[in-house]
Amino acid sequence: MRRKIRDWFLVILFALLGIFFQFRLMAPILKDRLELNLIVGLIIWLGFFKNETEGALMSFIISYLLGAVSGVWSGVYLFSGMSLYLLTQFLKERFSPLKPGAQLLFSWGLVAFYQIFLLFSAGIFVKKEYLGEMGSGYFLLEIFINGIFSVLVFHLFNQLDNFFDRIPEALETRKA
Amino acid sequence: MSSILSRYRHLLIPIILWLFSLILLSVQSYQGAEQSPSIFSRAVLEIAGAPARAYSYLSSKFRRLWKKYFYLVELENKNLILQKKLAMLEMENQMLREQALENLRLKKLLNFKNHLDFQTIPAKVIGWDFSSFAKTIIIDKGKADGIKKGQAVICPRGLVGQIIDEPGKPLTFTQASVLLITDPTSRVSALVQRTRDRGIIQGTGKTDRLLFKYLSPETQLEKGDRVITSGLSQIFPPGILVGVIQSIETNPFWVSPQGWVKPSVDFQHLEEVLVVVGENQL
Repeated sequence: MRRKIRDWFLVILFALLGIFFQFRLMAPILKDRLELNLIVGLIIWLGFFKNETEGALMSFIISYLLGAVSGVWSGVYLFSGMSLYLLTQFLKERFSPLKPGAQLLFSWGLVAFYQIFLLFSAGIFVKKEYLGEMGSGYFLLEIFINGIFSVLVFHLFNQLDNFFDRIPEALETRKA
Repeated sequence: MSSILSRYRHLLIPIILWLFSLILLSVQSYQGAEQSPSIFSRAVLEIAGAPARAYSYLSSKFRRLWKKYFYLVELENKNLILQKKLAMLEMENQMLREQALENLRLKKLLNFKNHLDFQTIPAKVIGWDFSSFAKTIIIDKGKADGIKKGQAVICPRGLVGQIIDEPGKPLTFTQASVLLITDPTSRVSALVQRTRDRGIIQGTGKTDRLLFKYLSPETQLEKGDRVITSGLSQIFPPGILVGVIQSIETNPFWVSPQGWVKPSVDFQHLEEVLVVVGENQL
């Protein structure tokens, strides 16, 4: 129970920080040409390491928060986030990338899917013009940078998880 | 199919949330579209709206059914009330009809009374005694109304009988017994209206037959002759119809003929009568 509360707290806190970083810090600097996304890595991590119900609920909440802050088409972020989570769930049993390198590569591929899916959803549900942006250099750069970010987030959360898991052991050792 | 479902059962919540997000996006796209909504949002909403439409359809059907049920229950109650009302109205109608008939009879009686040259008191028949021996009726007027023994009783159709005061059939203050002309002990002085031949009408104990006897030997009776009271007996006023000759009997051993008379009054259905109480009506 304590672990669950901790996970929820960490995920929501990181999501809020990530959204703040994306829309309040980076967006004015990059002038909306590039959209750096830290949340996507978190969703992939949830898909990998959380059970289906909990992971799905967390993904839904953080995708919703991301969409709510993003602006008008919040549904696109929510839908893309949930699609990414579902795909991660679906693929992790088939590919089982156990080695860290394979996991990172796998998450990069998923980021690419997310970016494409995001624009594709916007194109078919909102405006066709969004589909045209897929071929632009900015889009590919965005995939590349967000891929790196996701790798970092993925790695960070793995480390955090291990760290918090080790705290009780460390405390017991100190007591002893 | 079931194996696929059990295999991906753990993905149920993620799939539900994914579908929910898709519907949310479609709604947003549909509502926020500047021109026409995209075909995808419309398609998603059509599919997602199907259960809602089905629910709406079923709920409206159910509501209608429920309403109909209540309507039928109400209808049943109304029907019961109406049936009661109908029964009461039928009873009321029956009573009114009866009153109307009584009214008609009384009108006739009144009309008859107004044409008479003697004083009469109207009375209602309240009892019958059509036993084999005595043929009497009981009326609702007695001594208190001026009824006396021996007074004639008539009705618009003719002669009924006379007031009696006998043991077992006393004349009281409120009631009186009437000896019908059909009683075997009854004798009425009568005459044939056409020929003015006199005779005596005697009861036979039967309500549809009177014996007309003691006629003069020269009497020429004919079937259909009207027989009326002669007024000789002091009891019955003259000119009251007794009946009509139904058949005539002649016998060489008899001195005079005699006839069978059918009474003009239907004693079985007698309900109102007039008691003759005085000679002249003022």
